[in-house]
Amino acid sequence: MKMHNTALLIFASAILLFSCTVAAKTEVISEFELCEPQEFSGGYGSVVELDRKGAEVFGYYCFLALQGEHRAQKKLASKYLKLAEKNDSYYVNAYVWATLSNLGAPRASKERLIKLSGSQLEPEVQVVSQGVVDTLYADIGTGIVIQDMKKNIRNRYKKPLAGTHIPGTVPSRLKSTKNVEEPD
Amino acid sequence: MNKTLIILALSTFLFACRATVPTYDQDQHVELQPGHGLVAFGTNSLDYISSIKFVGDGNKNTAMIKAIKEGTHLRLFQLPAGKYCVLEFVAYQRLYQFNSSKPCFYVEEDEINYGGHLVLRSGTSRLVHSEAHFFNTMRTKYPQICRRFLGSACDEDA
Repeated sequence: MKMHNTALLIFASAILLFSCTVAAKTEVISEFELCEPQEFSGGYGSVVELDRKGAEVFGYYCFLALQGEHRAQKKLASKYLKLAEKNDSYYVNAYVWATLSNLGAPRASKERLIKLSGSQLEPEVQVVSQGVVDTLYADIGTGIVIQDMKKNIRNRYKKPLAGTHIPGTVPSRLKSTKNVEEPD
Repeated sequence: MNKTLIILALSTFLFACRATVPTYDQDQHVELQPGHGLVAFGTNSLDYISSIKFVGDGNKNTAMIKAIKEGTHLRLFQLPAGKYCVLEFVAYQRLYQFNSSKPCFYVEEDEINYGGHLVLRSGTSRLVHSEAHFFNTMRTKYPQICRRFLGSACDEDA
């Protein structure tokens, strides 16, 4: 009977541990998916026409921006401004994020972003955007320094340096079925 | 043998000099090197500070500022972009080191980066963020640099 109880206890602990691991993993994934286009369609983190890496980096900045990281908010504004060259609806997003970022940590570079994006907006759109800024500022704020953004992105996309070679391996981009000579 | 010792001593001296970063003591034109940001780092001390040493980017870079008088001061200097932590400082004729929880700040390229004010008190030294003091000092002591990096926040009516 005692042995039966012990076995039950071990089984329950294993289930609990497994659940915790799954829960923790799910949480991390959802953090990075928070700013994916489908999650933010029509919102202020939405984006289209980006490659996978671009979308992931964008999502990372978006995630931090929504946590109140003023540096990420500025990066997001710059990215939206660039995207606005192809799709001018993004000027609103650039304006919102640049203005929000500038509230917490005023910088001349952010003022330039506000001026650039703001000049492309109709006056009534600018008024509405200011309302969005006020709401976002009340909800998430700005000015908090959370993460080493550059390092995190660098680590995420760490690649072997050009010219490095691990003996016995062939870099995947050089792998080819053509022009391979069979050894004698 | 003596020659080797002299070369070694000279190299050590030169390396130490290299780690010391020049600070901008006047409101002057700042030419940032590529990949560098401007750092505004404050001190609040009752005694003369001989040096403050920063370590950055996974212990790869070290930088040092020297000779800071007692009182509250803001020093401006440039560093390569990245994360920096206060490693140690020399004051009260003693070397103080932060071991487990070093106060850290981030340096963004082409930006002014306020690292905080290092408040030096025996036993309770800490890094505090006094944005108000940072802006006031920038407005009054470095108006030109302030206008360039902080924009309209430096206007008199701001």
